[in-house]
Amino acid sequence: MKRLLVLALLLSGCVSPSRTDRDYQLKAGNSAKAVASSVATALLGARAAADHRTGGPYLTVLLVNAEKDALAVQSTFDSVQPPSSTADGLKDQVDELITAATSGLSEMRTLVRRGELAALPGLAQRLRPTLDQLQTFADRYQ
Amino acid sequence: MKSLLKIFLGILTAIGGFVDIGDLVANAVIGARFGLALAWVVVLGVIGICLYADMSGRVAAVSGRGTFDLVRERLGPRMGLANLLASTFVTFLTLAAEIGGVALALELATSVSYLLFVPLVAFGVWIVVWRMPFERMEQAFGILGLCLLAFAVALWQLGPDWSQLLHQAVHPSVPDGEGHPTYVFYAISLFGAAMTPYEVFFFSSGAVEEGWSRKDLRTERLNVYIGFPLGGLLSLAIAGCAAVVLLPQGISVDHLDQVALPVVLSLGKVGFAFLIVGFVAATFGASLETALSTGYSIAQYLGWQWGKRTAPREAARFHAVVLVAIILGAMLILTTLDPVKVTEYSLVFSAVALPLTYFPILVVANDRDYMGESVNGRVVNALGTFYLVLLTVVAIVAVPLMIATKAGQ
Repeated sequence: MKRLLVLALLLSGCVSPSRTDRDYQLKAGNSAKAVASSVATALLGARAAADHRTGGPYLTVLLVNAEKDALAVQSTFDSVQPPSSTADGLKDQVDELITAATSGLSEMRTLVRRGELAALPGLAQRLRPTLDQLQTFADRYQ
Repeated sequence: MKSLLKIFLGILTAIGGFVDIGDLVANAVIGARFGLALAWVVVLGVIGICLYADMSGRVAAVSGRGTFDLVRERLGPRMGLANLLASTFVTFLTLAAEIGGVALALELATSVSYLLFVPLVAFGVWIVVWRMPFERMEQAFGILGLCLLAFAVALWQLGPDWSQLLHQAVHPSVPDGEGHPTYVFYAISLFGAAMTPYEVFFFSSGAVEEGWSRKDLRTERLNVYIGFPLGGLLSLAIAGCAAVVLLPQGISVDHLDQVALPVVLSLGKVGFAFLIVGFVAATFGASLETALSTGYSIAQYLGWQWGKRTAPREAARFHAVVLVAIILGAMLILTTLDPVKVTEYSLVFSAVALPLTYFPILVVANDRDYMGESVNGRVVNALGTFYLVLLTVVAIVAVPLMIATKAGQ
């Protein structure tokens, strides 16, 4: 029965609790990497919009999915309890980055829904440092 | 021109094997994670499916019998039933995913939720199966599916470092940050997709639908040796685009919209329009292929009348199976199950059913009583046996590897 439960957890992609700081660091690094992927996707979409290479419907789907993925990562990471006070600091750091990313993605999605594609490259420019920080964080803790 | 139109059975079949909804995303996932380091698997898969599709097409042309007819005869009713249950389950899951895939492609073009399109798509699939003549169906979706060549054009337009791509392809290695088990898992998924069982069910049954005989063996070969390599080329082009655009940005692919991104950046709105037509045609074509394959295999196993050529009244049970499969598939996707995830898992499960599908084909293609002069030669037999061993190994390791790697995460 126990084995079946473990198998079910593995297959459903549930997050196991972190027992050590190292394990928590790995989870933090993976979360940062996943959110960085969503932000990078959105920035490429913004580049396509800036070059007039795509229209609103495609960008809407792209940004909705990017935001949804980033929010899912945030919710999964938040459900993992930090194993020590050192890990608490790490959690705050990741949370801050992910929150900046998700709110940036949300703003981009709103602009596209309103048809204000011209404002997209400017917003993307402001989101670029967050992407760099997420990638640096992911590289450090993976 | 007439003989050119005859090759679309092979092209439509190959679309189901190489660029259906699961493959579209899986090829981009692989390109974005491994570059072209898994290109050798596509080549291996193309050779394998050409080999066995040729055998099944030849058997169908010579004997007038579909693959599942032979599976039951050669494996016996009990083993045949096990194979029927396994392959029908996988084909049904794929059908559900393809219906969702058409809806996802329409969502990309309109930004209207894909769930709203699902009932319409299911109805459309049923109407085409019910009303459209087989040859027109394969030509229409085969031709429109070629719009996916936009990936190849986009790759060329992106101006990649070809020598680097070639180096990745001919000197495959596991990139930093990726484990060997994950690499092998994706290799098996890709190989399983290339050799998925419903391709031979559809191809051989399609040959019977088209009334192929010994004199059509040349057409059969043209279908195999143009259709499947073209499917492999599309698969490599998608992976190549992802390797050039998405890999350097650290993007991990989860959705169809990300698959389209390199083409949008490279070819703009015109390329995107081609892509949407290609996505819809490929996933719709794969829906038809899987819906019909479900009906073909069950009807052939149970000895019912089957086929689009037979009047619906005479093949009522075959059409009923197809209709029920379409309705259940649409219902499954309406539960909001992710179509891409469904095919990713079904690819792995299909790997388990592979040897049971291909073994009877190899046996019958060697039977001189059936095949006469068209029996397998030595080289084909040697290759066929090599692939059968490979398929058996793949069948054994597929599920444990899926669990160990959390499905390649």
